[in-house]
Amino acid sequence: MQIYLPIAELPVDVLLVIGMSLAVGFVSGLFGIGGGFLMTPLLIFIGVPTAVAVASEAPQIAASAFTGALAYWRRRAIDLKLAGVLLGGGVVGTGLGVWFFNAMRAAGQLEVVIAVSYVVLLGAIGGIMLTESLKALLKTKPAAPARRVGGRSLIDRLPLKLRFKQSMIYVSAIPLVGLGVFVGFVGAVLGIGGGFLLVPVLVYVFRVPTAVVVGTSLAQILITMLAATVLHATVNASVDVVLAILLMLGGSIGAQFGVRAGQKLRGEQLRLLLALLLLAVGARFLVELVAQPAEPFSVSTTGRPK
Amino acid sequence: MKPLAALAVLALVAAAGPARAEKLVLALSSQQIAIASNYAGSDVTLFGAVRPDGETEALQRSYDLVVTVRGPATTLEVREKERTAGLWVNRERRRFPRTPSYLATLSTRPLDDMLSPEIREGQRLGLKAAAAPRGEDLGRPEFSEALIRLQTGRGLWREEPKGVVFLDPTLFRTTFHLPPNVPFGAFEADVRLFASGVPIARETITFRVVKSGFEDRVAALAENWRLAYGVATALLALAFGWTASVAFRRD
Repeated sequence: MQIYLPIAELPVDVLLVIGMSLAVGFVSGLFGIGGGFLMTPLLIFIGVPTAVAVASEAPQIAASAFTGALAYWRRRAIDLKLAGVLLGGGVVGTGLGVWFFNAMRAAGQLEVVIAVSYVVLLGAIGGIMLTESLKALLKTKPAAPARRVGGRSLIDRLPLKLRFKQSMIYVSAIPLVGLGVFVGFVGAVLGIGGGFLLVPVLVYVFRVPTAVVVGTSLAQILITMLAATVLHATVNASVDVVLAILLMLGGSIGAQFGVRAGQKLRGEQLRLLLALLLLAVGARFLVELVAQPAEPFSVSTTGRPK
Repeated sequence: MKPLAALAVLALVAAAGPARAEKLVLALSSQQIAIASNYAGSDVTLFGAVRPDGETEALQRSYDLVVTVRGPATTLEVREKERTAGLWVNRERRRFPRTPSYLATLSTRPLDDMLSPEIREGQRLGLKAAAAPRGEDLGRPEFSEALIRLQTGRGLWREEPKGVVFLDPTLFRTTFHLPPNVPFGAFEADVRLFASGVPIARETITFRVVKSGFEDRVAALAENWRLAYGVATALLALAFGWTASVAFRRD
């Protein structure tokens, strides 16, 4: 069954798109991530223009983050103050990201920027998670996360310290705002929520307790992605609401099954699987960058047909 | 869509009496192609008649036809990937301004058999003419070749050397396909009549490709009411998230 996407300006198979979003939703529920880093490349793969794929993925991430955030809110497991400080940076980062996205699109380098960013980010995070989870699995008892001594002492010396009661940390606002800017920027450019970046940094660098970190990161992602939706719509007019609805439908249902499956696995096993998934997606982009393309030429429309 | 109606129109026109020279009379199966949610490409048929100048010998002449269907003109940019520091990155690019976004060249026989190179050059017919290098890049024909290859691959450009058929000595028909990714706007079918390789008549007919109903309204909202559209999409996301939270609540 085909449906025509009014902004992407092409017909897609409804069942294919819903099937993809169910699968990605399952993965996102399983690991507690947004799944944008899987969905955006899949959309580009089925022919959706990169700009529309990235922009239409934002409301879907916002929807799934809202579902998750509501559950954590009921358990009072969100540090609103921490989320607010991250957000201050997040909105700035999103604005910069949408601007950068536009500039790269005009220069014809958007695809390569996205591919390189995926390789670097997914490779780095996937690699760290893989070694950490393997160590934990081999020792069969949870290992204490390694302290980043250098970074830690530098962060401790920064001014503008704030106390976050719920997270039980006392830390300078500067690196937190910086982290928010970075995640917002990356999210807007790559069409991802950035949960897989935010959570490890909050846990390992800022030592936020795991109980609070996921809810707080979801709250931050929710607001960042709502801002990204509005900004992509106003700056690029590239949000396809029909595509977004299909993604939200499949994503929200798939996530419920993922959450249930996730409860049957141990934390280290989950992290190992997620690490392998991140590395696989990163490798896929690396191959695309390094292998000789069958067709070195590409064509695009620069002026809008009138 | 309505070939019979089109034929009826032609029959009326053909009966209208003699003219001074060969003239072309054209009719399309549809004047407006509406793209709705189930659009997956469509075929458009063009009917035409050659009205001779009244002398019987004119009918004996062997005619050739070239039908060029053009979509809205746009600027196409072709980029070439090159290996840079181990990565394949877009490097050189060429712009093709005022190039048809959709282009179909249909003829009664291959253009090379029909026309001398001089006439073909002058008439600017075929995909090669549309993708001719502009100004500075005469040295790299690869970009023009790539443009033809890529546009043909996307179904937006096509050349059918036997796409036009004569139903009788004066009546002809051709069908062209508009792919699912067809651009929107004003289209033009330019029909040129040749006799022994010499152009003797030319006529054009236009049609439009438009988004219909819901698709049109969504696209217009997204373009003209950007902030409202963005905020509405964001609110929709919140509604979806909240509904999922209530529907699947486990605690």
